[in-house]
This record gives sequence, C-alpha cells and structure tokens, in this order.
Amino acid sequence: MIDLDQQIRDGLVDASADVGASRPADLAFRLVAIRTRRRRTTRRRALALAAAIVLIAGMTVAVAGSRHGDQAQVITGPGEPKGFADLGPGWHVLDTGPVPGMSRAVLAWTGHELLVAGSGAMYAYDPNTAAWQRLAPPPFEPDGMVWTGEALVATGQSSTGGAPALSAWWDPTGDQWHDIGTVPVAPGLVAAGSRGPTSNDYGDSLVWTGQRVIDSTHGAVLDPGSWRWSDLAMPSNVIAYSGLLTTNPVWDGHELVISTFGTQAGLAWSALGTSYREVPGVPAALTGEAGVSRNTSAVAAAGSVVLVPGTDTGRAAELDPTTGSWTALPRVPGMRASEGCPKELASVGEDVLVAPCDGSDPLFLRGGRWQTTGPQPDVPADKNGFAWHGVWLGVDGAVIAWSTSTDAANEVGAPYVHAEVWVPPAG
Amino acid sequence: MGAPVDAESFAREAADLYTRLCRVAYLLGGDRGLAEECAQEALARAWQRVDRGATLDSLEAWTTTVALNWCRSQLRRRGAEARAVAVVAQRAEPTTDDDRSAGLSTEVRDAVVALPFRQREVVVLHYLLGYDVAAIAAVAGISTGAVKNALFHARASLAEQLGRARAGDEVENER
Repeated sequence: MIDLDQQIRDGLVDASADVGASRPADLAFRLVAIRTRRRRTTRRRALALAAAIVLIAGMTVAVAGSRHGDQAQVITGPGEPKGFADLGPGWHVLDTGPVPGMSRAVLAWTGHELLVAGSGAMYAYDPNTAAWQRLAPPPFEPDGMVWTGEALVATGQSSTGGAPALSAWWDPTGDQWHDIGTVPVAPGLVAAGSRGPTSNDYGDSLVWTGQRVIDSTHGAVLDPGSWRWSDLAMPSNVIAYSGLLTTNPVWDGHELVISTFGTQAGLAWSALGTSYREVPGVPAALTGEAGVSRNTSAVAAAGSVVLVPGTDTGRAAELDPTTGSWTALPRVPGMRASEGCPKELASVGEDVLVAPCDGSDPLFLRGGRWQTTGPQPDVPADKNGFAWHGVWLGVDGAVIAWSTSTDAANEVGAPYVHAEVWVPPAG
Repeated sequence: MGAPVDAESFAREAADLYTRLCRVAYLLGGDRGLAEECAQEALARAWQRVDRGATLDSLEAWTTTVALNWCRSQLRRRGAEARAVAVVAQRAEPTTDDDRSAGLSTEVRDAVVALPFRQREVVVLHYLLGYDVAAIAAVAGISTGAVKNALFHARASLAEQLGRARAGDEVENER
C-alpha cells in the first residue's frame, strides 16, 4: 500500500520534472524584455525603447447612427444623472449596471459615451441617459483603446498571449469589429535590441493625434484612412532615450510628448508621427536631488504637460511644450518613492487630479495649491499592491475612476467592478 | 536574502527560482506556456521592486505570492481552467505497463488540477515545495485555519480520486 502523502509528493515532482528545466540562457535579458512590455496596474509606465503613449485628448465627435445586431442590448440605468457634470462637485458612485466583473478594463471616451472593455465584453455608458448598452466584444483582450472621432482602435493580445500584438477597429454604426492586423515594431527599436512588447501598456498605450493613432510602445503609426500601420520616426540612437521608459507620453494638443522627471531630454512627435524633436529635460534646480525617481506619471492639462514623479519629496513640474520652459509645481503631499506612486493621475479641463500614495484622499491642483477632493465613496482594498486594477480617465467635465479585480480579497470569488466619478468644483 | 544590488546578481538568484515557479504554476494551471509566463512575471515584478531600491525579506516568498495571484488571475482571464480540465480529460487515457511510472504522476497531476484553486495551491505548496502550514498561510495570504481546512479537503479528494484511478488501473490490467 503506497502512502498517500508520498504518492502525492512523488507524483507532483514527477509530473513537473521537465517543466522550466530549459530556462533562458540569459534570464536577465528576458526580464528586461518582460519588464518593458508589462502592463501598468496602478501607475502609468510606458514601454518600449523610445516612446510611449497616452492621453486621450480632443476626443470629440459623436457616434452616429444606431447600433444593431445580436450583441446590442439596451439596458436602462437609474435614469437620474444628465451628464457627469450635472452630478455636482465631488465624488459619486457610478452605477455599473450590467457590466460584469472584470480582471482589468480599458476605457475610452467618445465625446458623449464612456466605452469600457475587458474580460471578453464591451459596454457603453451614456451619462445623459444613465443607460448602459452592451456592445460587440473586442476580438482579443484589449490593452489599449483610443477613440479617433469616428471609430475605436484597440490593441491587445490573443487569448493565448504571446507576440505579436493584435489590433482591430470598432465601427460604432454597425457595432462591428474589424481586424487591422498585427502591430509592427519600428526598425529603430529592433535595431536597439527590442523585438517589441507583445502588448501595450494599460490604457495609456494608444494616442489619437487628430490625424493618426500613435502606438509609441511599438513605434507604430496607424492611418485610419487606410487602416495600415507604418513606422514611427525614431532617433537613430534610440537607446540613449531609454530613460523615457519610466513615464507615459501625452498628447498636448499639438505634439505627442514624452518626458521624464529628470534632466534627460524628452521627445515630441508630430501629429503624423513622421518627425520628432527633443524637448528640454527638467532643470536640475527643479528636480532637486539627482536621479529623483524612476516613476513618473504625466498628463496634459490646458496645453501643458504635468509631471508627477513618485518621490518622497513630492516635487512636480509643468512643461510648456511651446517654449520648452519648465515650472515647478507645489509639492504633492503624501507621495513616496515607491512603485505605483502616484497611484493615479488624470486631468479634466485645467484641473489635475492625483491619488497620493499614503492612502490619503485624492488631490486636485487649483489656486497654486493642492486641495483635497474629499474621500472617495469606496476605495477597493489594495491587496498585495496589484490585486486590483485602476484606471482614471478624464472625460467631459469629470474624471472616471474605474476599478476592477478578480482578487479583491485574495479569494476565489466573483469578479469585481466599481466605478466612481469626480466632478471638479466650480471656479 | 538581502536585496540584490544589480541586475546581474538578481538574475543569478532569480534563475534559481525560475524552475520552481514554473513547476508550481504548471501544476496550478496545467499549461506550460502559462507556467513560464507566470514565473517570468513574478520575477519581473520582483526585479522592478529591487531595481527601484526596495528590499524584499524573502525573494522566494515574495515571488511565490505574486506567482499564485498572477496565475489565478490569468486562469480566470483566459478561461484556462476550462482548458486545463479539457487537457486533463484528453490525457485521461489508459496507460500501458511500459509507461506505468509516467501514469502514476499523470494521475496525481490530473487529480490535483481537478481540485478547486485554493486547494490546488495549498497542495502544490505543501507537497511540491515542502511548505508548512504557516508558510503556506503567509504566501497565500490566508489564515492557518484556512490552510488546514483546504489541505484536509484536498487530501480527502485526492485519496478518493487516486483510489478510483488505481482501481481502474487494476481492472485494466486484469483484462
């Protein structure tokens, strides 16, 4: 009679004996590649060598026509709010209605609807009617989405993972997804030793410039007229800009800017992605001690680029891309030099909203000082620092704070979804 | 262990953990690709922290915790638990006398993969890594009582499953 415990022990050892035995010859290289392609959870981090991303600015234009097809289903919400701004200043819980729990989600704002995709589903929320509508699900798990004014572009991974990244666009009129193909990796990045990430960074991965969708993670530019990708212009010495990996790019209304909170020069691309220029690094007098931070979140507000790094000093700065001049911002309370700090950063109008790292209430910058927004109605537990995934998105007159998790309590249970809206005070 | 000071030294230590994490993840999900990705993810996250100056009390414990959470999330996200069950079903074919040894490990693996995730992770940590109840509780983020409870039920299920498989084998051999 075989002892059960010994049988289990031997069985598990034997069953996994040949797994992971042929580990990469150079694990360090693999780690670099993985680190640079991995998603952000609580902070924005751009990936691949030269570039990066983000920002959803100037998203206008209405979604025309009606949706149809088997996927479309109108579900009416409570019917109370008439636009986010009409909710009144402060934080409000957003009824997520039929939206199922998701392990993660990506958001986009069409100008009048909030699109939420993740875990094999996509929904639209109209704040004017407080109604949710189920839409055709993306053909893959999206890592990034951006609204072009007429269509939604998404990139992500196949269900089985692995390179390369996939892309597709969604037609709001027909509620249909159309394949674009794999996202190419710019030769400049390949020459620098990167094969490109398999996916984009969360939500920050795609930027609409008004003419092109730029995926600076892969160094690729998408023309919505032909739905074809081309290469993003890259410096020949792209490796010299690897320090920009620690921040996310933003669209300031004229250029795609990526700059980190350090003296190293940043880069700014034209709307077509065919040319770029250097932008000045942050003066040493503003950064304080050398090598302030490896984590920097960036956001565009009123034409400027605001950088909030994760440091114990709370230093922050603002770039006027037109003049290249940097201005020190008031120090942000509650910051730390740690991963995932600041927790979130977003802008709405001229207001910049930040979630500090000491657990205190979010802050917004106005009148030359950081002011508290007051407590959020419900802040999800931050189990192990990565159990839940948060996304903040500035929309018309408000910031959407969207949280998802399947491990909110580190338990096997129902997936989690929670959303809140912050409306800035008047004045 | 103390915090590695640079990427090179970290990679050396991480390499020792890579195989372990792969095996844990494989037994949790039944997918080699997922297992490798899980191990890499855990090590990459650890490296991110170390690279930024954080000190990890135990690289093994930290990466194991990350691996468990990440693996669990991925399994749900990808529907891989369903795939794992399908894999188990495909592999549940009669074995011959020649591969009797492989059959034993297959039975155990399939029985473990069929357990609920919580029981599965407790079993893998206990029997594969040799963790005691306290260590499992710390790594999995649950109470020692929950660990004992999961181990008790898992062991009972495995006894039943493996007993049934053994009985089936004996019937096959008699034919």
